[in-house]
Amino acid sequence: MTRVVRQLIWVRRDEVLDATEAYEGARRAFYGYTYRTLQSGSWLPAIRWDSWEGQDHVDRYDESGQLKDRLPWRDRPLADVLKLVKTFRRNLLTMDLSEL
Amino acid sequence: MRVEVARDLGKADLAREVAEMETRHGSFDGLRQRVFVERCADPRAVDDYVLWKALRDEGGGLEDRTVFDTPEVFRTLTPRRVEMLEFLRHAEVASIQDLAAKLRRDYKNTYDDLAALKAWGLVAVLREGKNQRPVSHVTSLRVSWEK
Repeated sequence: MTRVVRQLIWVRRDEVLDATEAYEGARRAFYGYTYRTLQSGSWLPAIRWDSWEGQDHVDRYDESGQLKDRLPWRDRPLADVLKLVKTFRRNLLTMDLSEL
Repeated sequence: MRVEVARDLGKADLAREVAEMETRHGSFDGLRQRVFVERCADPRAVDDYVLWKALRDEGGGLEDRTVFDTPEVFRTLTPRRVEMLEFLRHAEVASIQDLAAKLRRDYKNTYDDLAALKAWGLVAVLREGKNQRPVSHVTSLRVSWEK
């Protein structure tokens, strides 16, 4: 039995962290945290941290929301990812995310 | 400061989530094929697949929360709009016009208030035939200050 927890965290009026987590019992079986920004009326992904197929990784997207690159990532809880987003915001797009 | 909004989801709400995913992706099998091929090229597709799979499984469920980590939302939460949210929490309305009549307000102001709340995800306006039916996405709202 899978319980999905979906959170939309508003960082600014035009920046959100869109979080989806799936739990099997107490175990977090999947996480997907997408930092989105509002561009010309559309919410586009900028960075996404997730564990799709059990592989922790972080994806970056270009100005049009297309996937640009993918890096390995160490599993961190949502609170840590939110702290990164609130601290660095759009600067995350030009930082070495694998070091964060 | 943090504002946390919780939303209770009934069977009708979950059915609506599935219907919206069907509109976006066609079928569950089509979505599954797409996410296993494209992976995270479309983040929303992956999240939808995880949710849809959970809802298809017996006993699967969804908890939906909105968190405002910015005080900007308080510019939108005027007393009149908070009253509207509270009204929609406890009463069903058939349309924006119906809501305006029940709140004894004019249509334009009601429409504008709904648009402001919708921009923050606090209400949705469902298209049902010719009608646009406003529904609240707020069961509870809590403001807290954490260290």
